[in-house]
Amino acid sequence: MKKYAVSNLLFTVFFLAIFGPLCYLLYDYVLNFALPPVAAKQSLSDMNTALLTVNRDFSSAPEYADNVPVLMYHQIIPESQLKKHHFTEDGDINEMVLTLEEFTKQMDYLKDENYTVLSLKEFEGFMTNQKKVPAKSVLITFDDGFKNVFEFAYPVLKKHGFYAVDFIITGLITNRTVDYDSAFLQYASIEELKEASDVFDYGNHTHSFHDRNDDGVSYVEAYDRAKVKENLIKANEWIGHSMAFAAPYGEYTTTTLDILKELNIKMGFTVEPGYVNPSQHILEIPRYAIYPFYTVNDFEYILEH
Amino acid sequence: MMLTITMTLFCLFIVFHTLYIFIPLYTSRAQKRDYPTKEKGISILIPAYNETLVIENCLMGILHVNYTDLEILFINDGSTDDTLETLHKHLNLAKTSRPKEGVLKHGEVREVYQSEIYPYIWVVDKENGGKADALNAGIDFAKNEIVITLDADSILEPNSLNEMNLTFTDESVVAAGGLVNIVQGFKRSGQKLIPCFKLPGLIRYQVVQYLSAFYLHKTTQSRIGSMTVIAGAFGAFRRNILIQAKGYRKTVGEDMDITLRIQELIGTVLKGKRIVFVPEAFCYTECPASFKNLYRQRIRWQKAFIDCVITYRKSFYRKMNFKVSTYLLVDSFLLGTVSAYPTLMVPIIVLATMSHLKLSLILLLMSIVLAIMQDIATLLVSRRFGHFYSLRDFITLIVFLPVEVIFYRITGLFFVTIGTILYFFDKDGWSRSERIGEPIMLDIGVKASVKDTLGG
Repeated sequence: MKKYAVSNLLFTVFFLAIFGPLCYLLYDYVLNFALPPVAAKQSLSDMNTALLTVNRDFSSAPEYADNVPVLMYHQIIPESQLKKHHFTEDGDINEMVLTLEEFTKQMDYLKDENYTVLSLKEFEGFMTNQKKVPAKSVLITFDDGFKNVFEFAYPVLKKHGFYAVDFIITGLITNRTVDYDSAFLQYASIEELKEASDVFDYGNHTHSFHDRNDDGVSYVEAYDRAKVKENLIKANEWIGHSMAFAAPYGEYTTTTLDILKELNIKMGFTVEPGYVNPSQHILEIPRYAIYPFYTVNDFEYILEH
Repeated sequence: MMLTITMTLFCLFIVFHTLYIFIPLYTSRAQKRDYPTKEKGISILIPAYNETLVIENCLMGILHVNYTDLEILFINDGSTDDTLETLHKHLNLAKTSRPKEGVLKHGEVREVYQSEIYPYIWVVDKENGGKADALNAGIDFAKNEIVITLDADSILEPNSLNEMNLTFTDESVVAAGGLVNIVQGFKRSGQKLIPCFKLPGLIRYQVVQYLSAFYLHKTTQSRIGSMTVIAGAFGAFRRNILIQAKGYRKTVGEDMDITLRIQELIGTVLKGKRIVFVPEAFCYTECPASFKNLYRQRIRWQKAFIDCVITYRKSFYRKMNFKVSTYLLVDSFLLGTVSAYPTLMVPIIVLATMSHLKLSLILLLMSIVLAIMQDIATLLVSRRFGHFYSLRDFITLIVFLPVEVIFYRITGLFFVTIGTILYFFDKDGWSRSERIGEPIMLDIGVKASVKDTLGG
């Protein structure tokens, strides 16, 4: 046996050196695509990602805002990675999708025009009359917690020093970060949430009620009060605070508002367009959806009232 | 779901083929051979049906064998050509009578001849009844403890009987397969045949395939005790086991069939007995030189395989032991035959849907790398048994490996898929390989001396 020890060893090393990496490639692929990630076992509250404490001093601002626009986005995807399923039958881009190029232009505009992009905490101060914010202030929100937001929007926001709120469906946040693939509708992983928590605050978008029943009624409206409440509690506990809520599809009832009060949720966001000032109902804060067909002028118009 | 199946099959494939590399690599070694002084009696059986072109090669090999307690029985299975005359020309046959045991059924024997030049060589001339029938007749006439079966185009290496003798000193061995070399892959150098790789691609492919089939696959099977085929070209058996197995069954692949019959015995009444592979004992045989003939041969092999799977379907795990059954069903049947169909479909599906393109590429790349690794391991192991190539041939061979893996192996997939389908339509429509009959005498000297003797 000794006679062949060297050649055996050399061959084995050679074999492992070439075959090992290939096995790893396969393993990686299978992990990424063959086995879809499952709902995260841990919650964000387990990971010590508290609410952003950003609360800047705006006392030197020359002018204060009466109204603040709240912008609403869903998905941010580079134009080159748009797939057929991102378009409607008419060939228009899906309303929920904004290209990364457009998004970057809009963020650059905010930067160039010296807009103050508020943190959730600052916005709450504004809404509760505890804080004055500069005249040109804006709150950026995202709904649903898609992976592409973390993949593409997060770096842009971070570069500009902006803050944003992502309303996440906590039951859909995954346990493992996978490669981005625009062919699939991927949700963010808990790890991504944690890493992006220097820019994002997370809001409640229900734990698992982002759906409609067979009659097309959203779960929040369709289910009885106890069930909805339970679901919202789950999401709150998962996130670790009860700062903000946005109803899936913007559909809710007065019962929902009662639940929000009971749960001591500070702010509720709708999908109705409109400007926000502290005199408004804090559980029905309007938001401007930013659609893909908006031009820069449309965007400017929304910001400048 | 599809992906789970694919991954399971692929993992099985990887496991088996990694074993094929590492078991032989770490267990094969050329040992110093202590041949026993006592020779066991050996009867060599050579069934021949219209073998005029090649029977001389076979005869030359046998005459050169370095063994004394030996009898050789050619069984002329009703040849319609000059097979018998050719034998007579070299052996000077004389009619005689020879008792037989009458334990196995076979077609009627017309005459028995004995060579006047080499009294240990006999020719049994019988009615045509097929190879299995001829072998059964041979077993019936054979007198010795060990029976060796050769194809009429097998050229026995002179020392191989000593190797078989040594192997059978182990009482647990009931049958043994020898190694089959492709004669076209050698060239004569003085008295010896040395490996040579200056060959047409089709033969190169078969040379590499035979080397890896024997040095890697059969070695592995032998080690784990799951031999399913003893090649008809060179097999050795204890005669009483062949009789216990009720001889050969008339089928396309009687060599696999007899091996499985013996495996059934091992799984039931002969527990602890073994079938082994002996890489040191070898013979040379011709391989098909044209694609058409290769196609015929491989279709025949595949039909033989399917026939055996169907015939023995109820024996797996019942009469045959776990290792044999698993090896045959998983490696040969599931991975070798069943997966061939989806494998051929994969490129179409992937190109049509463009999904899992990356996965397919990874799997393809892994298969290619594994195949090349296996070829390299083949070269390492075969060197240990004295299968050396010259540097020039070695380089040619290394360059050829990727070509072999990428292009020639695809043909294997077609043979397997087509052969399986054809089996169900046309069970008996097969013909054996076309004989080429190149005069590849082991030694011109022997031939000359035979002629001299005949002349004198």
